Amino acid sequence: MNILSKDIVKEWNISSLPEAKQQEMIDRIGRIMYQAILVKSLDILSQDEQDELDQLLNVDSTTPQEVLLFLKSKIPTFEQLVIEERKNLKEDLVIENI
Amino acid sequence: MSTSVAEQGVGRKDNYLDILHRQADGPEYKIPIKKIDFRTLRKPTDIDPLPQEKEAISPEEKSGVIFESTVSSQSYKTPNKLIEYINILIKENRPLKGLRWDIEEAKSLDEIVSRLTKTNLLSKEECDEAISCCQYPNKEIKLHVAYTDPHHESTDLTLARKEYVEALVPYLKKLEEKKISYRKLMQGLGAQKDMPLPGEPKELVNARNDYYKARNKDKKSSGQIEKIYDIMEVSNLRQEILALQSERTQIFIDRANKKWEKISRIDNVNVLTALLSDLTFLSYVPPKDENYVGLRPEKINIQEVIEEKPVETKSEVVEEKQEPKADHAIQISNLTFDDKPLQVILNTDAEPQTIQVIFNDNEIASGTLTRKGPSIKVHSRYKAGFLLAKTMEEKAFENANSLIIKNFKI
Repeated sequence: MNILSKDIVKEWNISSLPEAKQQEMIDRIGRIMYQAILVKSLDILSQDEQDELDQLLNVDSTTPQEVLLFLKSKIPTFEQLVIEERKNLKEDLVIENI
Repeated sequence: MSTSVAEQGVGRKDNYLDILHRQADGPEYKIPIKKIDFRTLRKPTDIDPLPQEKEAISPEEKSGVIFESTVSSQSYKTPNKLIEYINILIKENRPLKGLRWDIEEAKSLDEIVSRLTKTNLLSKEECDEAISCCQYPNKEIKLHVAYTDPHHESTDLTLARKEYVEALVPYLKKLEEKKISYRKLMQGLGAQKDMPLPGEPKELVNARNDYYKARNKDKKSSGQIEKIYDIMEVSNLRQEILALQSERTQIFIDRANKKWEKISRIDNVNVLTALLSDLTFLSYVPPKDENYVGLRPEKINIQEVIEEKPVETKSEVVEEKQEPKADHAIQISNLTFDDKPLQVILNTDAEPQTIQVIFNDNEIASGTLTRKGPSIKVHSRYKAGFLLAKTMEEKAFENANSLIIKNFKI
């Protein structure tokens, strides 16, 4: 069952892969993005905000979506940060033949 | 039922429920049933001998009664060791639930082997291991890391990557510090301006070029699909970058990662879509909201999905909604039924638009959405038989369907 949007598949240029592989690769890319955004965000968050994040992560039922929501609420430039990270990741994925 | 069919059922050595099996030939006859395991009961007569080969019986089977969601249409039992192995891989976040279902449904060892070898979700080593789990049920399961690293990367690449990361991380840290202080300075002056990017040091540029060369060389020799190679390699690269972060950052990342691992693939579609594209989809409203009805007909900007909406920014949100949006979207509604997740996924990419109803991580119904309205059917394997009570899946579908009819319109 492919529940991925065609646009994600197209945007990340993985349409040539089998459906199951597409999902797996998107999971992997999503995870890389999630981690990269967290690393960047931690540099930006103040000590108090990091403590708040710490408390949020302590809650067992916290989801990645809620983590991102929290970061979004604390970082005014969060959207820009996501776009930047997406760009960086794409650049890392596509390297020129040297 | 004709006599001949009944006669064919009698005297079969391998099964006493042949008549039931015949009823279950087609998927539409698969019905939930309390199945009595006759193997654990005393033989009624000598005319119909029990099979000689005795399989290991689980504690629940010993009770004589086991519950199954469907009547199995075969007597072959998938080796527990194999299921155990696949479960381990699933716990490692591998998308193998479908494969597990396939092999549980298999009617013979040959069929299992065929399904294992045909799937591209397992590496060769994992496939061999899975097959050996069938052949040697007492063996110790050996986990392979070959899936993420299917070839032995060259030492050149390992070294080049390490050098590149060691040059990159301190540079990025310094740059970030400078950016933040520049932004603060500008804000103090009443301006919103980002620091212009300085040129990269020569060392970093050289290290990057060396890494790219080594990566291209390794890619050519790996024999992998190019795209998969790149994603795996970037994953390796990012892991090395993470390893150079402070201990505190690493602890945060580890804990956040655990949240990622816990969430199901379908729930994660929201996050993946938000992170990886600019699509629009339905807003997620937590069930604790009093006004929650499962579905929200309005579409919102993707960034709003990862945004708590403070009251003061509401007007901005409304303005953004008024902008023409792309009409392609995955819209997900999260519900619960009997304390299990129930999801309705509308894919407006498709023509006609498709709807999937997922209950407890299984697709239980699918259909389309046209101008006439939704047309969705429960998959036959989840339907109860004639005169039998409705299955849990049917009840869950009814719940979802009423919301679909109410909220999904073109």
